[in-house]
Amino acid sequence: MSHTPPIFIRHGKNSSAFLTLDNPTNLVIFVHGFNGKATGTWDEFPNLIRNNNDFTNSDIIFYGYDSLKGQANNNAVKFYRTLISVCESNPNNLGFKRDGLTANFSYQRILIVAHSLGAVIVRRALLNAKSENKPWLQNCRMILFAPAHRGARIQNLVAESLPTVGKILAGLGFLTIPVLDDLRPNSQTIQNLITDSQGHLNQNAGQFTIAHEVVWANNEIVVHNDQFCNDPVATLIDNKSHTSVCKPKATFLDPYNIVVNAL
Amino acid sequence: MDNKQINLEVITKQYRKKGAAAKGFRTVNSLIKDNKIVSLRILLRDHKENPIDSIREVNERDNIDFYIDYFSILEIGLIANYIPNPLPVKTEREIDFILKNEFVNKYFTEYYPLILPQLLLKQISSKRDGQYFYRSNIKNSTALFDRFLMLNQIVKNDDDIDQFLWFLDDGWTSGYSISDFWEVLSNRDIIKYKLGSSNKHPLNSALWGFIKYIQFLSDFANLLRDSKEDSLLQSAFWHHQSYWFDHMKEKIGDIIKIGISNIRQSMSYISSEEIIHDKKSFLTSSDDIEKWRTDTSQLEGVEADIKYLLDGKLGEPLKSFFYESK
Repeated sequence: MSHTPPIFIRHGKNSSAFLTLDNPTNLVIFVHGFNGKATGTWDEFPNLIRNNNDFTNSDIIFYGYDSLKGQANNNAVKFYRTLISVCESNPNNLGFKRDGLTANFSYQRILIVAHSLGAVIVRRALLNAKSENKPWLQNCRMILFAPAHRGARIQNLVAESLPTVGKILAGLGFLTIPVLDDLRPNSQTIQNLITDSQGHLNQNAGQFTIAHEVVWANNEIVVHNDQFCNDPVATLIDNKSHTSVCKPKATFLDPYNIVVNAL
Repeated sequence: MDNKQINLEVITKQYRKKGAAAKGFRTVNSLIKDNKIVSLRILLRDHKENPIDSIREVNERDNIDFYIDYFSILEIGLIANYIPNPLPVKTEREIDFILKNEFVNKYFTEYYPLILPQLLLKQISSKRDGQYFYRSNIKNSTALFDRFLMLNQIVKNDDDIDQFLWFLDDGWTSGYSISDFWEVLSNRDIIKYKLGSSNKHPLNSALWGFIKYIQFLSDFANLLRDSKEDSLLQSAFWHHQSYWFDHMKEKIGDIIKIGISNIRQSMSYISSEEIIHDKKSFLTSSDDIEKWRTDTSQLEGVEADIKYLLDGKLGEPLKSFFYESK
């Protein structure tokens, strides 16, 4: 075992940290999508991380937020604040003391792994970091599974993401879910994300907007699989859907290996 | 430090040394140490004999519940081979000092019986040498226990779920009760009138709590199903929610009997045109609605999960273990 048990941290909602027992050099943050859970979205990831030695130098955070209630950009601001806090303070403050961490410690690599709506949240948070010239931004890398950064098919998103009772109540108009408007392909949120990212790229200052790896599911019916600005060509995974493409299992280790290889 | 000690250190830090549990410990510890027997007896009384009216008392008892929950989690951790067996002497002394106290003991054995802390105390009290009990290494028990901790965190740390369970437990908020909530589910006009767009309205919060709690029940049922190879651990997980699955069985059953049936009723009365013109609904065409009606016709999964969780048989292995332990 290379990591602590889940430590429930004050950032976001029900976020858990698995801190390495060694001294860390990397931080890996997982950000779920619409109606995802801090850890539930990622299935076997916590178990694989604790039982293998691939992350011995990495602190891991499974970041949670209330995706059903808040607007995408509000959740992006909250995530940005979390990034500031964890990147600009000693990791021992997260709840487990490692002796070798100096007062001026900073992570060499910050790997952000996002699913679906999480990609919109992460991209906007990094744009916020750029606008405030955060030095750790240059250490950030994004891996995006089934990203919703070019919008989603709302009916399919709800059908695939909400439990049956939620689907019924949302259909009846009982619930207000503002983020659904944000995820329409022509929404202000998506259009601004593209425009702002392209603006930085045009000024040769947009390296941070380019994902390290984008992963699409071949059976995708929820998000629009379109390239985002200067992202690399996506990795296409067969026989996986929007929700299963980011969930490693004993017989499907691709998501795990993709994250390990990006460290 | 070995892994089990690290696990114990982190669990103790989270479930005993901060937040409500830490306050609960301070209250009980000082009342026992200062020999304030009458105050302790009054604070930890059975609410059926003498209701709990003051907010201060409600809060203090809540804190103590969180503190006692720490002992339940320790017991499950022992069964999962997740923490050292035996526990460190300092932890054993605290268990002995607190849980053996006459009034604390009555609280979790007679008034609000919880088998997990009872089992922990029994094991500590009858320990001679070595472990309290022997368990061979169980496949996946660490991963299952991690999942349990994370699910537990979700249900304990959500204001909407709190509001829903408060209603279910016969609580009132701003003049509303569970009957208002069930009524809301069956009548679309009422909800429009009462809720407006305010997410902070207690009925709106309870509505979100209802959805989230059903999701939690489904996730918890899956955790128990995945634990079936270790019936003792499975049973220990179940007992952690036994207040709801056992003592409040009928109320949880109302989720099916009233909640789900009222939703069905709502669906059957609504016209497609009304939904299409409702800006709050994500459905914008007749085709959308047709597909939505088909997609949502199956509520059996929810009902199956709840029936599974309310089956008292899941609690039996831990009870047997309790009666068989030294």
